Amino acid sequence: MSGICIVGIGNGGCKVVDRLAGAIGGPSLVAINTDARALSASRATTKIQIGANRTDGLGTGGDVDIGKRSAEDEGSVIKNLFSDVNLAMIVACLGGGTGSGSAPVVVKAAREAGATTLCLAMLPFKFEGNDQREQADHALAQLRGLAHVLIVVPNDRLSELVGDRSVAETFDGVNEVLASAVGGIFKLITQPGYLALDLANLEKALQETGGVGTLAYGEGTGPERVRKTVESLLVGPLVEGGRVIADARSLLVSIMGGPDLGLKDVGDVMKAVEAKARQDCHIVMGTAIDDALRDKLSVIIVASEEKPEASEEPEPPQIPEATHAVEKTGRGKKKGQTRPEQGQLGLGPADKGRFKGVDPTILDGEDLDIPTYLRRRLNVER
Amino acid sequence: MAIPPVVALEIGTSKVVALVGEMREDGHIVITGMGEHESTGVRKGEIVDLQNAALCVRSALGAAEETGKVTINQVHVAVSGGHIQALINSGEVPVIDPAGRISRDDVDAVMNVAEALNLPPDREMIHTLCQHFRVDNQEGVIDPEGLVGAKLALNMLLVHGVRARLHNVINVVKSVPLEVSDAAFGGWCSALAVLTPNQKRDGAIVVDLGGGTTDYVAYSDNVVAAAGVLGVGGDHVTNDIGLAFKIPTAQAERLKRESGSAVFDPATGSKQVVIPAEGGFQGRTVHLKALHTVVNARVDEILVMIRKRLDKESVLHHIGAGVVLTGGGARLHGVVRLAEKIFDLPCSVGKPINVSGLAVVTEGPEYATCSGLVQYGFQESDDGEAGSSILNKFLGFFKG
Repeated sequence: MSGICIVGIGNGGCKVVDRLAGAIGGPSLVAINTDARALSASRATTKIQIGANRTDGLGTGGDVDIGKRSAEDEGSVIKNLFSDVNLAMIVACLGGGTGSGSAPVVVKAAREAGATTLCLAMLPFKFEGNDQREQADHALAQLRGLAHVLIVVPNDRLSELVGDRSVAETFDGVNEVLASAVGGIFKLITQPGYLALDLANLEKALQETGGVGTLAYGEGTGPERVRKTVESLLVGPLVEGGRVIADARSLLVSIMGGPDLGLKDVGDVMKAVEAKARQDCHIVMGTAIDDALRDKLSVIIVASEEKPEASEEPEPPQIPEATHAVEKTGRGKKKGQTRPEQGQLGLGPADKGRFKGVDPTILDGEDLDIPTYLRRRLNVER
Repeated sequence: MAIPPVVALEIGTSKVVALVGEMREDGHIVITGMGEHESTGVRKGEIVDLQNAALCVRSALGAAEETGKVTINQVHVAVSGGHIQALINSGEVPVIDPAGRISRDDVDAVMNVAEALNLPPDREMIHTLCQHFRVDNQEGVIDPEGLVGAKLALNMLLVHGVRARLHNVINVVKSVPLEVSDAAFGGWCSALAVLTPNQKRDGAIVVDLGGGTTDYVAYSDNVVAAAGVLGVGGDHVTNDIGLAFKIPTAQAERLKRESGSAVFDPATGSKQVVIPAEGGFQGRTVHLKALHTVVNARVDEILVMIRKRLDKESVLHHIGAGVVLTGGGARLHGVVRLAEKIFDLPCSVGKPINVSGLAVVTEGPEYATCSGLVQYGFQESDDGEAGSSILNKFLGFFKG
């Protein structure tokens, strides 16, 4: 179906789009980045390098202002992207310079071109530091006023989903989950099953809370797929152990399965969701059938949290030594015995090399012993 | 000989250096002896293994004794580490004289007030450096004695660190066994070694890119305007390279020195370097572009963090003379160009210009800290520059 385009902005956003390149056909996939090398490696159908004369093609180095100006420089090119587009799905990792700076510019351009804008904004990991966090919050506030639908994905919640792995693997895992979710929403809109769900429903479901939703994703395979899906979906870290679902004012549930998706499966999923949700929760549901999903079930929930602001609890002041102690004990024991502090990414020792075992250098909440290229998500040809 | 030689010791993360300095009659300092040993037992500028560190110190001092033809009994030590911080504290006192003439007593009184800061119990003062005096509303007074006013105020830059970590350095020296005459912040020592009087006046930043830490000091208007340490250094660059390409530390270090660059060189194209097999390592090739990406990211991050800090402290716009890079990291290819871009200021590699003698020392940015420490040692005995080390107090306790 024409009229839909998926745009990845910055290194994080572009990686999600890359993953989609092989997975779904149909929409035009666009990568927008300041980093020329990352862009040249991208599998997107359309690639737009922005800010070439501001950054020498090297990325913004975290500078939001450069990210913003870089996108503005290419304003007409970006706007042209959306000339025949009904729905623009825009994926950006907030926190970095390109994502935070140019996402609002791109969303605005899409909106001005007449497209409905659905923006997936990923928030940085806590270990990426307070600076990133501040930049992300700032960008988020801007996107809130711009995008028709804004879905917020805190990476910290995703990281628990992908488990206790090294930083590089965690980023990969997170990208994979996000790509599944974006692909899922795309399929939901373009390949309706029993119950079609269109963008108008999505918008309506999110309207009450100013168009901001939290994304939850779960999947399962095999005969037990319904139970597995529901488990990973409803109690997983993405929904903060179910709190997000329980607090949601409205839920949009999209269920995707293969041709073997039964009505009973749909009913079971919905029953489980309803049991978790508030009584007065407004639930909208849709299904999609995808031949590729035979024997598999995947469910996306977009939850509108009642107080999107309050859901991000203020963090206690960062005390490096203390945090480290908690992290250490958490890592040393067997998985599951001690949960790492909320938001702490379980880092494998391999990520710190010769600095494992020494006091970490933590500045503004950022662990500087982890290689910069990993934290900046640079592409390094190995 | 009127003034005994000063021995400066730096127990760095990558090397331990000892320098013997003698002051000629004209006041010029000559480096007459030197000893150096690869450092083990230090990470990020802090001692993690006392015994190994002491072995390295003994070996470096032994060589310094031999080349300098001296017997070393006591040393000045340089301290660094991410725990070291600086802050500005101001004090104000009423002028005693009814006529308002400021006396030496008033100056001493305001210095006492300005340096009286209650540090957390685990911290120790390293330096109290006078910035500018203010007489009533007159800012920027350098010497207030004899001026007239009702109130005398003073800003002081207080440099402090975690006591236990500072004492680790001193304990290593004591276990050698040697006496510690004094301790000084390594970053400041580097600035003393490489800056000209004009640079101090016009404003300059010295960034010492060490193995374990990056120390920085900003001078403006002849006073230290800001100082600090990042617990990130050349070791991190090496570690990043090792992790990125899965090569052992020794090879990563060599790769950094021989082929690393802080900026991208268009001439690199798609060139590769071969890292030969060695020991258990099977060898591999690395794309130069990828190597430079890894190095650039880390060095860029370090320099940007320092720029941000100095910007926050409103120091940057007082810098007229530019940025001077010292430490072993100053030898990294492209680092001057990167620093110029980041600070938007002229930038150069600093060599110890304020001493003469052994060429290896006066030509090497990596010897800036230790040469500066020699200067500091002579200033101390001379009580030249304001801002003597408070460490003396607890050193006295240890000597006891």
